[in-house]
Amino acid sequence: MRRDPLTRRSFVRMTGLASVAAQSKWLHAAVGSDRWTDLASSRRPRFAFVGATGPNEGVHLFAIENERWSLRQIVRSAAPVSLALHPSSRTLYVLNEISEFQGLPTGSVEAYRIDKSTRQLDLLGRQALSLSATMPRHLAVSPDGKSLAVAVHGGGAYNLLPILEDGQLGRVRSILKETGSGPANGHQETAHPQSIVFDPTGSRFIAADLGSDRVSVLSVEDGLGALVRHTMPPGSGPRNLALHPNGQLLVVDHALDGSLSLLRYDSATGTITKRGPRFHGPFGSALAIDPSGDFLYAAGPAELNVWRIKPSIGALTRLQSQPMEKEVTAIVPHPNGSRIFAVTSKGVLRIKFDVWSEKQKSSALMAAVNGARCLAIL
Amino acid sequence: MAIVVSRQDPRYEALNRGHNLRWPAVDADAASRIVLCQSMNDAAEALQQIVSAGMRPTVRSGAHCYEDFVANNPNGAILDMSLLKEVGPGANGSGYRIQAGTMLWDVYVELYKRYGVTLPGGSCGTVGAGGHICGGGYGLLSRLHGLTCDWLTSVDILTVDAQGKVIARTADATHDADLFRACRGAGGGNFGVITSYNFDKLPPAPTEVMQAYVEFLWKDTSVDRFVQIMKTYGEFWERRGPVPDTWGLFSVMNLSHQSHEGFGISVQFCNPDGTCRDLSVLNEYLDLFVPCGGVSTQSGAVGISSAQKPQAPQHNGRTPAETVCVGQHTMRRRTWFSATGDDAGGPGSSHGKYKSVYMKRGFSEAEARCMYKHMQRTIPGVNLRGSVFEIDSYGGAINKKEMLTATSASQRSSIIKMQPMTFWSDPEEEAPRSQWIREFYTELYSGPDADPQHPGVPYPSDKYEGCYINYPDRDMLAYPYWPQLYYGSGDLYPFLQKVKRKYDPNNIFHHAMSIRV
Repeated sequence: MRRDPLTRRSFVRMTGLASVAAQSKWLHAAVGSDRWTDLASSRRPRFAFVGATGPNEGVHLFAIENERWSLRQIVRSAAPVSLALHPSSRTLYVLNEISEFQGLPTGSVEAYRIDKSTRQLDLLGRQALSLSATMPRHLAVSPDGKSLAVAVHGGGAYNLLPILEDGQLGRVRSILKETGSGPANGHQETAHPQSIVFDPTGSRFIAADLGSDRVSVLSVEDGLGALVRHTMPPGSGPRNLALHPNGQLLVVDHALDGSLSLLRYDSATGTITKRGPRFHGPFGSALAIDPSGDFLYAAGPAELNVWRIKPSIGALTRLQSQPMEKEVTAIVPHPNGSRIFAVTSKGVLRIKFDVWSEKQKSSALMAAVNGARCLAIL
Repeated sequence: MAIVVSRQDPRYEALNRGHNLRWPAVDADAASRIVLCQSMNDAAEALQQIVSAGMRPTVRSGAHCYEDFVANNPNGAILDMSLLKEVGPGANGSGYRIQAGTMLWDVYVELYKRYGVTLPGGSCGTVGAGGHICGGGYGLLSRLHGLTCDWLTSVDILTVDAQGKVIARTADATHDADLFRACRGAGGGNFGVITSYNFDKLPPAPTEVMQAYVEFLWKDTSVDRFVQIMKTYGEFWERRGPVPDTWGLFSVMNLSHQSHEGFGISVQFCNPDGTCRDLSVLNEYLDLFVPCGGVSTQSGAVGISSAQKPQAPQHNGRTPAETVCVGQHTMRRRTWFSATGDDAGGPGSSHGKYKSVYMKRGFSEAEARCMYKHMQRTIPGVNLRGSVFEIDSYGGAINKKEMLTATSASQRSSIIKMQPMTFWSDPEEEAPRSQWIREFYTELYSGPDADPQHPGVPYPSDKYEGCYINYPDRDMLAYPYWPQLYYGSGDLYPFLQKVKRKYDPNNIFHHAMSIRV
């Protein structure tokens, strides 16, 4: 790989704080050593599940071979808005963003068994959320694989469901009903929980609430209970969360004012403190941190940004910002780094980066799925 | 200070369920605590604590909800108002204030003894004022005096604002008038916690009433005779019911399944002035059923709300009754007070499934034949004893059209209100009995009288006027237009949704059939 030394120098100057060790690791990855290649090979995704609404409503299964995606199955599913794999990789959970289920005002979650060899989906069951839990937005599975948490936009609540031995979901075990509002007319009349991320202990999750401008820490151990309420700037509308692999750096994007916030999270105590300046975007559409912890990807309504992370001091340096034809609604980093899968209403894009040149290296539509909303890779 | 009954409390088992023992259906549905409010301040403080803790409050007074709206509250809190049961003068010393937890019988006793007035409420005395009045409660005097909610002047209510803060309001025609209208008939569990009902005026209690009972034996009732009975019943209320001289006449047909010996018609009557000086209307009514084989007897009570398996409270010891024979009819003359006491009802001890329908016109032959068929139906292995259609006379003063816009009780053109019910004690009977009543109801409203666009339900039309929210039926949730069944097809439901968004923006108060936001 040929690198432009000027560009590299400017990159190092920009980051300013990057340690030699981190650079070294990054360089190592960038030149593609044998060791890395081996590692990459073992973590290469083989299958992708794409949730879509509209005429293609359902979950679409793609097999990935030689970086080509081929459609293998479509299962009908009502408004799949968020997907999560069980840690065992044996079950896929699909959140239905609906306002009525079986005549009642609530959403639902589906559990699908994933076939060991073909990865085809087979519906295990569909569980109602709590009464009034309409238009749920996001789900997450606890690290121990025993619980599933749901952020409910419409009903302003969180639900916790037990995951049974066979992967099926039990009835909602715990409900936390939220109240609160903000100054943004039309968006913040009530609480609107948006996203959830479990912390490394698995005994808590962190949640963003667009309606009440809050990031909260909730305990899941003895039913849902609020441990921490961290207030964000009024009218900002926190939407997506990304917790750094070190468990300490928490990134929040804000859908209403398009900003990005950095918070310090203490996994030992479950507390949140403010950390670093706010960045102004527009951001707030999708957010993800690379598994290496070195890069942050943040999308706004019409652009995609890549940032270099220095987690020890919470520094972010923007590396790239590029316009997007369609809004990115979900970002899934490739396990090997240096590329992401970005979900837009046209389908799933694979975007490769070359941070040395500060430019997008390539972008390819891997799966043309109109109405795509969410993605999980296996 | 409120009393908190948690799962460990010996009272929990008795208090986590209401009169209908079906709910909670499974332990996982049960509330984690019952909070008994001993004062108005308790109610506000307890509600605030529940909301701040992110729990769901459900609210009850008499615990008579037919469906699971209160008892199905997984790990939530039941806010129990039943200890708030004062009846007295209003805030400014005039008028009447009834606290939400007061049982109807106590309402009648207090109002009668202290003031000589009454509320035209239901005959089941253990029903609580809280849910009864805000759902548009009615009773034996409603043809004479209208619905309970028609007499309301204001309600004291706790709502929860967007920030989760409890707000105490007094809603009336000039303050929070939209909320006030919504509290006059839209039903409980929608907008907040009503703590008191206030009335500037209430009607005088009748001095005396006549009670009569006409009995029919199934063995003497062919299908043709049955059709004749039903048509006679309906035609009277259609033809004579709107005329004010009949407004003191209230009648209930208890149409029991053939596993009972027969069925009958209970009647309570007084003249519009609350006396029984002129019995001509009563006789005119009873005469109609003689050709149908009806026999006037003393054996039957008025029996309204046998639904709740009433046991008369023995407030008066033996209730004095004078047997009177007028023409060929035997009837009982009683003071209104003792007659009302006998029907007051006791604690529930059974499981029940209920439905409802408002009728603008009497029974057609097709309807009568359908009812006969299902009342004669037997299902192998299923005991249908305890299955009854209560067919109430309706209308009269209820149908004053000015109440349409003042209240949220939209059914103001009906002359009959019917309540199909079935009761059992063994939980295993739930499925076949529910199926029986569902099939009956669906067929009844799929006939030539039904709106072809809405088969299976009494969708508002020239013939029907939907269902009653205080007799809620979750089966109706299968129809996307279920709100129109309960609130009409006009602009009432959109109005209620607006009120809901304004006063309960978080949807704190919700149940399976609450106003949807």
